[in-house]
Amino acid sequence: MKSHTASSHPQRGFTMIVVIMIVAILAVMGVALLNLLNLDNNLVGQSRRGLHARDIAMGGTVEVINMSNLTDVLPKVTDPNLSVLIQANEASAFSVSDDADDYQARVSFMRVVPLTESSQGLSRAVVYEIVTRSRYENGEATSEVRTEIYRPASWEGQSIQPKRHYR
Amino acid sequence: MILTAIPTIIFAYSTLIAQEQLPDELDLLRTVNRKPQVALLLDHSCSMRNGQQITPCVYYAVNHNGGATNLTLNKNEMMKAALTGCSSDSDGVLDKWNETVNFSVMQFPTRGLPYGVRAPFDSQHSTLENAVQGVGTRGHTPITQGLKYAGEYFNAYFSDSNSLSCRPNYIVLLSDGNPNGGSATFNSACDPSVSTRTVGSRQPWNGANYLSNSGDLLCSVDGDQIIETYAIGFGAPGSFNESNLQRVANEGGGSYHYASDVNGLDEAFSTIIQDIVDRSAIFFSSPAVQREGIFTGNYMYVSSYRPETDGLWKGNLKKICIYPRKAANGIDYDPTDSSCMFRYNAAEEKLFTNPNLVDQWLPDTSTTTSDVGGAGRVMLCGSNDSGCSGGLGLPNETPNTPFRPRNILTWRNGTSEYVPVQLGGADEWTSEDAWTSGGSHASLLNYLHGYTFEADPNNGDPLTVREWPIGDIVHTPTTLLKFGDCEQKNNCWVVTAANDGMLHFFDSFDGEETSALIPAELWKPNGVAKNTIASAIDQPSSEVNHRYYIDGGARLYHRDNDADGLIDGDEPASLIFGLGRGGKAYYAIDVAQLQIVNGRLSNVRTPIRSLQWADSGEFMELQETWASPWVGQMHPVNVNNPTAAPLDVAIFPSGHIAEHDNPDFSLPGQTTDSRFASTTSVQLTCPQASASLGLPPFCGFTGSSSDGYPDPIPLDFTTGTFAFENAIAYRIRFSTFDIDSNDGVVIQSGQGMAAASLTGSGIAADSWSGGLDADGWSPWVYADSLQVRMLTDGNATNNRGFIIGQIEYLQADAPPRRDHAPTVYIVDLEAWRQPNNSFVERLTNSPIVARFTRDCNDGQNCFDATNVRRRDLRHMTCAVSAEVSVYTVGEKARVLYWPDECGQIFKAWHDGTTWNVIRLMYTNNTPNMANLGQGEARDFRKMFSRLDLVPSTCTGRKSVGVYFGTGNAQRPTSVDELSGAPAVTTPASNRNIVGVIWDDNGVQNVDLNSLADVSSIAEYSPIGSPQLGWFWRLKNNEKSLRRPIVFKGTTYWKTYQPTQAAAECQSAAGVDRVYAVNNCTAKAVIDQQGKSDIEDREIWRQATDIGSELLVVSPKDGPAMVTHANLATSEVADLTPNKGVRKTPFIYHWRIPRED
Repeated sequence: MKSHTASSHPQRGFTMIVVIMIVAILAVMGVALLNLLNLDNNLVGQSRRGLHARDIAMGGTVEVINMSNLTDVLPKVTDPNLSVLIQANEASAFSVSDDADDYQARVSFMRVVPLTESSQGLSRAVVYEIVTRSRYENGEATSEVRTEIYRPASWEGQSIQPKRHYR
Repeated sequence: MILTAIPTIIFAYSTLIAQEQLPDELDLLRTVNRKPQVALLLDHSCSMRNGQQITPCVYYAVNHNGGATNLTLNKNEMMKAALTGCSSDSDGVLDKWNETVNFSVMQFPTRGLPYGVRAPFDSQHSTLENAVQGVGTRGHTPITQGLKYAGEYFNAYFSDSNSLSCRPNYIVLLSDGNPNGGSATFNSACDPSVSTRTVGSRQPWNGANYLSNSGDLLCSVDGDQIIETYAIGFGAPGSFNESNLQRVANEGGGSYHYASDVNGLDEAFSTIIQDIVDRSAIFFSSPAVQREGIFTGNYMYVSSYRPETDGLWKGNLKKICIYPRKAANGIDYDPTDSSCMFRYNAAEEKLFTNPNLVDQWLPDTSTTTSDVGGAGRVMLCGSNDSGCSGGLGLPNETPNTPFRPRNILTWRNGTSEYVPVQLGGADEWTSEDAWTSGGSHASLLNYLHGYTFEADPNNGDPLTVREWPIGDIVHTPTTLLKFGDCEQKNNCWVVTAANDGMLHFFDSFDGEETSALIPAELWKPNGVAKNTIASAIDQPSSEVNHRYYIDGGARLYHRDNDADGLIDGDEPASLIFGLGRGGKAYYAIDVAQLQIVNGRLSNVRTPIRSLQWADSGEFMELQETWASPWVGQMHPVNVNNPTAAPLDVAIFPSGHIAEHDNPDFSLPGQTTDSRFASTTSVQLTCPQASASLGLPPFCGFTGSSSDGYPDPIPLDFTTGTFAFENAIAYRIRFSTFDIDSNDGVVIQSGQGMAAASLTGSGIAADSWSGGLDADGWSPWVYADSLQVRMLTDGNATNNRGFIIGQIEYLQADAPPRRDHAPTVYIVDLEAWRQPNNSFVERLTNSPIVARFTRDCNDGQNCFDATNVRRRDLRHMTCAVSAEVSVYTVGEKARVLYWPDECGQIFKAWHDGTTWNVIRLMYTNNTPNMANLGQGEARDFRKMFSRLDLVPSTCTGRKSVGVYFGTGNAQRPTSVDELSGAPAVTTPASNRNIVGVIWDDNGVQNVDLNSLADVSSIAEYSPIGSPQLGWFWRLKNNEKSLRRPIVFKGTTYWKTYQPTQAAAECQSAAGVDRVYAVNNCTAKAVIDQQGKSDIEDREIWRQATDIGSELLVVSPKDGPAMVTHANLATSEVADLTPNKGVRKTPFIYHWRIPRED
């Protein structure tokens, strides 16, 4: 009597499975690679936006410091919260595309300190903090820069004031 | 009667001449009068023996005419009485004017009397008087010849060796008749081209014309000297032709006076000798800058003063804007705005000072002149100035009513309340309170209120408004008390003190004075005040020191708990001020609730506490309180303990000693305490008193035993003047007093201030007068001299007259001389401000936290040289007058630095255990100042200005830069200083210096050899240098008289160099300079083309009579700058405009950005 062995069919199926698996793995790898490539693209873009945002914040800080009327708007000790908010204006080099990019700076009165190489009896430095927050591409990226600036001031005849840190 | 009215000015002169003369800063402004040379050409013709009249010349009759009853004098005798004394020994023309006029006595030509000279120029007073008494009565009236020889005598006598080109020359001709005698040839003109002129005996005016119109007549005196002729005629009207003498005067360039009008003569003399100092405004004191939070606001309150030759100097306070308004672009200043202290020059893009600034209180006035506009004008005419219907009234006019509207207050020590300085009322300020003699009491009070020194005898009302109502504000800085928006009424007050004796409170909105306070110590001699306020009318003249009353430093103590810059009612706030050159006291007024009482001082809400000198105890070393106190906080015991509650303290030095200003005074030296600390009563009989003073024995006025005293015509004469050394009050007791009820006896001071007006048997004749007491004693005359004046009605009676039995006077005891121990005080402000210290002379509890002196006598918290940590205090033997500089850590006092008047710098600090005091540096060759007598005062470098302390890294390590300058502030015009051993034997030789020493806690007791001399070095390198600092020598006689300022790496010094001392014919003059250098390297900060690097240090030069301190202004909306603030001229305001001061803030710290 003639008999057939069953082993040959399973072997072909196995190979196929292997092939399919390999293909699947390759497909997954391809997808993963594509995802990876996409992610990297995103990361690069975000990084670029972040850099732009930081540039805007830093440039905005410099703009604030160089405002011709900054001394007019610096906060007084009597201002609420001892701070003022300054928005980037239309002429700003860092505010473009219908406010898609812009910044705002909060200038806060910080403290009064002795001024080096200046008379301690007659002068002090009034220190302010500028916190500049920037937006890039409608908020796709933001950044913040903190800076301290000071102005020399005559101090003669000033009252005794409580030691106070204003932040 | 020939001489009746005697101008007050003469009395003032005689009083002031006796004042002690010591150098003073204001000597700079003293313009000594030109001393006229006057030949008195006296008529000795026989007609002078005629014209007998009964005269009031009792003094002359007693001493030259055989007795008091011989009052009938002829013209010759009247002339002599007029010149040497009629009613008293001091009312003669020679008595009054001998100090200010160089007289000679001449008569018409007489054989044996060359030129007719009886007493030459430059004669003693007695020689002049004897010469007058020797003038006889014989001969003609050769006026023509008299003028000729008088002119020739001027030329023969004067030369450059005994005269000056500026001295005017005059002949004063006194005659009773028409000219006659011989003719004369006038040929004394120095210019040979001037025609000789023969003048007839009856046309003497042609001779007078020759003398005044022929050019130079004094050939040996530099310049062109003419001789002008004045004429005085006396005798009965119509007895001579006045037109002759009038014509002599007219042609001679002078004026004519009738002899019975001596006032005209006095006016003529006054016209001759007055030389008004024309300095319209001088700025010495620091202004008050209105603040907006931390920065300078746009208003400033500036005080100034104007020197006068006589009388009260004028002071004023003005409100001015600092910066011009902004231009349309909101960035630049508007160049068209010329109303503020600074104006903007658009072409140069710089701010300039503006002499035409507008007074913000009275905008119609645009000038810096001290007696125009400002608070003074508001006081006169009210804040709207419309028709002058408000205030005191127009100057020299009848006062507005109600009289005395000002709120002038004072207090009596120990009474716990302010007292209005007013006449009448339940709490009247009496003549005893005011140390004034009865009749002058109302006059004094009127004067203090702003009227002339006179009063309606019936009710004391003022009669005329004074020319200017505010006294000079010289050194006291102006202080702003801010309670709210200063552009609203009753929110802010500007406070300053003047040498009219008052602390003035002005509303900053409109300049109206709401209160004026006279410290209690200023009224009576007491050892604290230098002058009593009653002597204010005597101040000052061009020949004597200025009289100071309140002239010291001032500072506001305000603990601003909410940091809003406003004085809130619940925050401690006191105004602290010192008498300065006016005395030895500091005062603290609570001002926290001043707004509640609308600026009117209140017993409960704004009490005052004094801190003053006493002859023993912890404040016995207090001297003239020049310095503003340093006010701030320190830890109470352990400065290293940050948890301890801090104390609010005031720190000040013991102050200045005027006696040590004498250039011949040997320093270090002893001092004399105030001479008014105690008095001794001395009683003498009148003959004893007269004899001891060398006066004629003129002690009564009586008739013969059977008749009453002579009273043939109305008489007005005086006995005295009794003036004993150091006497401060007098009274007399009559042994006989029986006066007609229509006659009167006035007991008065030598200055004419009456204490009593008596009639009958000692009954008071006027309402203000006291009568004789039960023992026959008169009321006290509070003055340094005494006279008894009698006035009669010309109707003789049987009354016997008066005889002065005894004279009693109070003599200020001679104070002991002792070693002065200069002291620096640290005072607990809260302890000082305790209620039980209010209105009292002596504090009931000691507020002293610490005091540093070389020898503690007694008291607590005293630290002296007996401890090894304070051994250097043995060198602190010279007065300390400059403000103490305090180095703070965390706004708490940590280290104290102060200079003294012998050029030393001291330093004190607490190390956690005890106080340490060292001598940081000395600038003279005086390693051991513990020994007295190191040299004459003139030969010491002196420090009168505050040191400037700077946190520094110039040396490459952390240190405190101590910037200093030397110069004698009390002798600004001197040219004879620093030539002796203390100054010369140093690297700086005979010059004053400016410089810095960096203190890194390792510096002690060094001299100038430890500093680099950068006088000839353009730039010094401090890093790695073995030197501790640097200095440079100023120019010859140049002085640093204002505090140095270091600002943003630049050091500024202001100096004064006299170029011309005050002397006859010339005011003092000098050059003010400002130097600006890098504070580390001494390199000039501005490169000025065409100058060397060293010369570049000088950045500003002007003539401002020293002027004010340099000023740092830091507006909120503009660049901070240091300015000279010279308002006399328009010039660039910023001292270093080319240095590139930036408007925008500096970047202090740039932190790493972070990303979201």
